[in-house]
Amino acid sequence: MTRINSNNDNDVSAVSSLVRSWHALARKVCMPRRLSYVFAAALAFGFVSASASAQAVRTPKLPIAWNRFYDYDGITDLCRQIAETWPELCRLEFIGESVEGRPMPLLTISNQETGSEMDKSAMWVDGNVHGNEVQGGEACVYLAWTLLERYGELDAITELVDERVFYILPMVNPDGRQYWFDSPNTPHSSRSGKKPLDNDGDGLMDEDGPDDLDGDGELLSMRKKVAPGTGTHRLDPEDPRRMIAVPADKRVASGANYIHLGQEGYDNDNDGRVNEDGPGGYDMNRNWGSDWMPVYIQYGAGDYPFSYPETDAVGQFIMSHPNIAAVQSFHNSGGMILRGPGARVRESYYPREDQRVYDAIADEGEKLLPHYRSLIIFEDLYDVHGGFVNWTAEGLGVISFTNELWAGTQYFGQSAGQDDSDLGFESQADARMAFDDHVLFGETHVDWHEVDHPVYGTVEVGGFRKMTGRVPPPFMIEEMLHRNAAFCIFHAEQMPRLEVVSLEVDDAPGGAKVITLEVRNDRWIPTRTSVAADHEIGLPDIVTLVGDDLVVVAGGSSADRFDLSDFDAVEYEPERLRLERGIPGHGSERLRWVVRGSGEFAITVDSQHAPTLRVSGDL
Amino acid sequence: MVEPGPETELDQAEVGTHRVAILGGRVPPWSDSLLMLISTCLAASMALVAPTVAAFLPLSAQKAENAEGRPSELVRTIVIGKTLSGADLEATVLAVGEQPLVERRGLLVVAGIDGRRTQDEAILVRTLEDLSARGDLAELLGDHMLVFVQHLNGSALANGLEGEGRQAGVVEGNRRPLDNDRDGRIDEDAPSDLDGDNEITWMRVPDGAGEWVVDEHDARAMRKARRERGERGTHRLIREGLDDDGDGAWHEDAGHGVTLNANFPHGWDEYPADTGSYPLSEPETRALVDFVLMHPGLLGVVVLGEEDTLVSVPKMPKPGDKPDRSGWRGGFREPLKGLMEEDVKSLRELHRRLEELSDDPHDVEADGPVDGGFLAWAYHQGGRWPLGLSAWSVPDSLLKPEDEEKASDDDVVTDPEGLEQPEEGAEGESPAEGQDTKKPDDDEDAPTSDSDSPVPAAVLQWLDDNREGVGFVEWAPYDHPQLGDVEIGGLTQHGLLTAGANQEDLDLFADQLGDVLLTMMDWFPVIALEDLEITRHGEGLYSVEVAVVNTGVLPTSTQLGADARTARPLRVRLQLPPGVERIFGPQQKLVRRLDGGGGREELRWMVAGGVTGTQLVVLLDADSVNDLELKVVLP
Repeated sequence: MTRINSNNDNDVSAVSSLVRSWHALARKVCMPRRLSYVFAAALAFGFVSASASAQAVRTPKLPIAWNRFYDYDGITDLCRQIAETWPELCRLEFIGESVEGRPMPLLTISNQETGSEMDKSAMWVDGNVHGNEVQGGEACVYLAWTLLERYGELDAITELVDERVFYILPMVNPDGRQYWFDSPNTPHSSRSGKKPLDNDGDGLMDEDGPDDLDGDGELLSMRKKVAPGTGTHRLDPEDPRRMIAVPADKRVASGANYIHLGQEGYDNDNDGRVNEDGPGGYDMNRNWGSDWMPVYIQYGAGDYPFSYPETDAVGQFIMSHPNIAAVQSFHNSGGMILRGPGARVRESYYPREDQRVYDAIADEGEKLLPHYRSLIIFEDLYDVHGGFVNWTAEGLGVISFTNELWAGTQYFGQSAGQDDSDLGFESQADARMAFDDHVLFGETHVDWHEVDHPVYGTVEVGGFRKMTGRVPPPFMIEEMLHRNAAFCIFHAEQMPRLEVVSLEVDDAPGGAKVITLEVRNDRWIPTRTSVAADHEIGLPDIVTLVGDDLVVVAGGSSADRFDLSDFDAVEYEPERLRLERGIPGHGSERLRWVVRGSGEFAITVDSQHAPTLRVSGDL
Repeated sequence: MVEPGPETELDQAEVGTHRVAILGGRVPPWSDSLLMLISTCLAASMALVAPTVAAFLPLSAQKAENAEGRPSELVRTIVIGKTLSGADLEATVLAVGEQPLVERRGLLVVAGIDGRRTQDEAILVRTLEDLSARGDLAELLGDHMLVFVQHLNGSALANGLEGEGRQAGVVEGNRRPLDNDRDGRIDEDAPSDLDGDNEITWMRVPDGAGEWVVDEHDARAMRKARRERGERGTHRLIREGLDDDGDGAWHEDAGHGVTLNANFPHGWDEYPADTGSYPLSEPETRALVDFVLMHPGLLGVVVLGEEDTLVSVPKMPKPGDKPDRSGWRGGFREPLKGLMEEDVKSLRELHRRLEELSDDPHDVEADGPVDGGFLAWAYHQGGRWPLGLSAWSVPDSLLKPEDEEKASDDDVVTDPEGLEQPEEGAEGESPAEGQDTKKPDDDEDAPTSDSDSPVPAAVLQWLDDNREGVGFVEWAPYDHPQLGDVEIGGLTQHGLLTAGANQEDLDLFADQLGDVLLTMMDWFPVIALEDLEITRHGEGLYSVEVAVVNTGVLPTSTQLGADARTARPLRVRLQLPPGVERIFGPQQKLVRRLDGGGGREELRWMVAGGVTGTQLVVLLDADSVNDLELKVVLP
C-alpha cells in the first residue's frame, strides 16, 4: 500500500492547526464566518502548495477513470475490482435482483479486525434510484474508492474505515441505468424501473413509449412548422436552434409559426395519445414505507410499499441493519442537499432537536459543495410521499440526506447570487447553448432536421442529447464526485461516538456506595434521534451495571454533578437503565447507581446507533 | 409471492374473448337465507361450540374423505403464498371448466384474519362443503369463480392448537416474534395459566390504590370506583400470569405477533409494534393483496370478521369528508375518509335487496372498514367492493359506556373485542385511564355495562341468561409469587369471541352464506351493446352509433375505483377492415363507470371507405364485466 511520507502527515496536521488558529483569530476580530473561510482556504493553499507535488506523483492502487460514466456492467465491474483490491477492508455482495434479473452489488467497507460490523455505527449510501440519474452510481463508487485508496494515508479516512461501516449500493435501479445507456433517451428519461405497467388503463403495458423516429440513437424534441400566426412558438432570431414560446395574445402579431410537439414519438397503440405508456412508468422513490400513498395520490408509488424487487431488497437489508445511523442518497440534479419532510403533514417528524443536527451537517455541506443549497423537500421542491429518505428519517429515525448532484450554475461557475444574465447570457438556454458551442464544441446538441412523422407529416427533430443538462460534462465529473464524497465523509464522521467523561465511586450513608458515570457523545448525531424517541422507533440505549459481589439498590439517569442523592431513580430493574432519548449530539448523560457489595463492576452502554461502550471499576 | 399450484397451467392458457353466460334456472332462496343471516348476526345464541381441529384443516385435507359424490371439477386448491410459520397458504376455488382464473369474475371470501375468530373459519368450511356438493352451479361457475381463503392467519391457529400455544390461547396476530416493550427481549412477558385450569382469566388483587371495586349488583363483576363521588378503589385487575421479566409491566410483550388486519396499507398506523414494520410486512397479508391484484375479475372481497358493511351499512360521508381533488393533475391530494357517497348508496341498495327478502327490517349505520384492515385496502386501494359480514354479536348495551347504555338486550354490537379491555395489561395501563368521559350512571340499580371493565356485570348476566354462564370462571383464591394473595377468575380470554353461536346457528349461517355469495354474483354488472344504428351518408360514408349499457345491478366499478382509477375501465374500440378509415369518433373509449340498472354510454363513429356488406366490429373488453364483440354490417 502506498503511504504518504511522514512530512505530509505533519503538513496535514499543521495546516489543520493553522486553519483552526486563523478561525479563532477571525472570531476575535468579528470577521464574518464566510469571509473567514475564504481567507483560511487561501492560507491553507499557500501552505500546502509545497507538498502538492506529493499528490501529483501519487499512483493509485486501483486506477479508475473518473471523467466518464459507466453502464451497469461497468459499475458492477468497478465494485468487483474494488473488493478484490482491498479484500481485508471491503466485501462485495449482491443484495437482490432487479425486475430484469440484474444483481444489485453492494459494497461493505469496514476494517473487520477492529470489531464486529454490527457493533459499529454504519452509514448507508446509495445512488441511481432513478434510471436516468446516473452519476449517483459513480458518486457511490468514488466514495468507496476514496475510503480505500486513502486508508492508511489520511488519518480522518483511516479512522472512519476502522471505526465505522459503510454500506454502499451504487445502483438501486440497475435496469433503469442500463436502459438509459442502451436506448434512446433524454436527460429526463427514464426514471422508472422496467416492470411493465399499464399507465393509461387500456389493458396493455408499455405499448406507447417515445420513439427514435430517425433512428439516430437519440431521443430529442419534435417541432412542426405551421403557417405564421397559427403556432405557439417562434424561432429565436439570435439563434434559430432555440424556440421562444409566444403568449396566446401575441401569436398572430408575432407570426408564431412553430408548434412544439414534445418528445420524439408517435401514437404506437393508435388510441389518439402519444407517448403515454412508455417503459415502466413508475417511480421507485415513491415506494418506501413512510407516508406511502397510492398511485392516485402519489404518481409512481407502486401497488404498495416495497412492491418492487429492488426496493424490497434495499428495505430488507436496511431493516436488518439497525446499526445504520446515517443515510445518504444520490440523485440528480439541481445542486441540492435535501432533507424531509416530503409533505407538510409530516413536519412534526422533524423535531427541533433533529433539525439542529440536520442544519449542522447541511451547513457544512453548503461550504463543501459550491452551488449546492440546503433545502427541505416539500417546502423548497415539491410534495413527495413514500420517498426513501423520508422513510429512513421518519420510519427508522436516521438522519438522512438526498443530494441532487450537479447544478446548472456550474457550467460557467457563477458565483453565489449570480444568474446567467450576469455573465452576459440572455437566458439559461442561451448559456447552455454557448457552453455546448464553445466548451464542448457542439457535442451535446443535435441540430434540427426534418423527419417524416406518420401523423404529423414533416416535422423537425432536434435538441440536446441525454448526456447533458442533468449530468456534468466529462471534465467536471471528478470534482462533483470528490466534493460529494467529502460531504458523505463529514456526515459519517458525525455518527455518534461515545466516550467516558468520568467514572466515580463515592461512599453513601449506611455502607452503600454510589457509582456515577458520565458518558459523552462527541459528534452531532445523537444515539437516538428525537423522532425515534418520540415514536418509539428501535430500542432505547440500555445501560447495564453488573458485578459478582454487588447488589444494585437503585439507579437512574440525569444525575446531579454534586448532590449524590439527586437522580431520577427507576422503580424496576435499576441495574438495566433505559435511556429512551439516548445521548444527544455534543452532549452527555450522567447515570448513577446506589449499590451494596464490593469488588469489580462493569458497565455497558448499548446503543443501536453507536458502538457499545464498556467501562469497569472497583468498589 | 404466489406459489405455483394446480391452477398455474390454467392461468397460462390462451387468453380469448368470451361472453358471460346468462344466469338462469337458479332462484336464490333469499327469503330464508337473508332472514337467517341477519337474524344470526343480530342475536347469536346459546350453546357454545368449541372449535375442533378438524374443522379448521384446509379443505383440501378434508376432500380426500369427502370427495365421493362431489363434482370433482368444481373444487380446486391453489397455494397463494406462505404463512409466517412456513405453511402453505391455501385457497379453495370453486370454478368449472378451463377458463383461467385471471379471466374470471367472482368474489374472494376470507376468514381467519383475526386468529381468534375460529368460528368464521368454521362457517367458511361448511359453506364450501355445501357449495361444492351442489350440482347446479356448472353454468354460473363456467366463467365465474368463488375463491375462499378460509384460514389466513395460519400461524396463530397453528400455535393455538398445539402445546404451549394452546395454553396461552389463540391470538389475534400471527405470532411473529416481537419486542413490544423494546427492552431487547422478545416475547418474554405473556399471560399464563397459573392455576392450571386451562384458561387464561383475570387476577383481582386487593389494593387500596387500585381503581376497581366489586360490583354491588353481582359479586363476580368489577366496576370502576366512582372517585368523583368519593368512592375509593379496592382492587387492581391484572390478566392471569406473572411479570415474567420483572420490569413492573404486566404481559406487555405477550407474543401475539403482528395483527394482520392492521397490516394493510390504507390508513396503516406506522409505529405500533403489532401493526408490522411496514404495510404488508407479513407474508399472509402480502400474499392476499398480490392475489387480489393478479385477479382483476374479483369484483368484491367478502370478509367474515368484526367488520360489517352489508348488515350495518357504512355511514354516508360528511360534507367535510369529500375528497380533496387538488392534487397533481386534479387527482386526490389525500386519502378519502370513509366511503364515497355513491358507493354507500350501492351498499345500501345491496342491504335493501337483502333486507326486503326478510321479515326483519334492520337499519344500522356503522363506521365502515377499519384503517389498516383488508376491507379498507380492498376499497380504497384495490378498487373492489368491501363486503364485510360479522357473524357474531352480543347485545351492544353490554359494551357501551354508561351514558350510551340502553336497556334492550336485543341490540347488536359490532365490537365484541371491547370485552377484552383492558387487553393484557394491568389496571392503570388502559388508554382510557384518566380520559374517562362517562357521565355518572343515572340508574344505579341496573347492572352496569362499563365497557372498560374486563368483568362487567351486564355481560355476566347476559351469559347467565343466554349461555348458561359459560365463559365465566368463578373467582378462587391463589397465592401469587409476586403479588401475594389474589383471586383468579372472571371472563376467559377471548371467550365470547371464540365461543360464538351454537352449532345449529353455525350451520344455518353457513348454508345461507353460500346463497348470499351466489346471489351477489348474480348482481354483478352485465354489459350489453344496444341500440345499434347505422346511417349511410352517401357513397362509402357511414355513421355508427351504439350504446354501452349495464343491465346488471351493481355499477361496473365503485365510484372511488373509477375516480381514483384503481378499477380498470371498460375499453371500447371500433375495429375496421382494410380500406375503411375512421373519420371521427374515438379510436378507443375508456368507460370509467356505468351505473347498474341501465347506466349507459353512447358512442358514435363515422367511417369512410366501406361498401354494403362490409363488416366492422365493436370490441369491448374489461375486467369487471363480460367481454363483447358486436359485428356491424354496413347496409
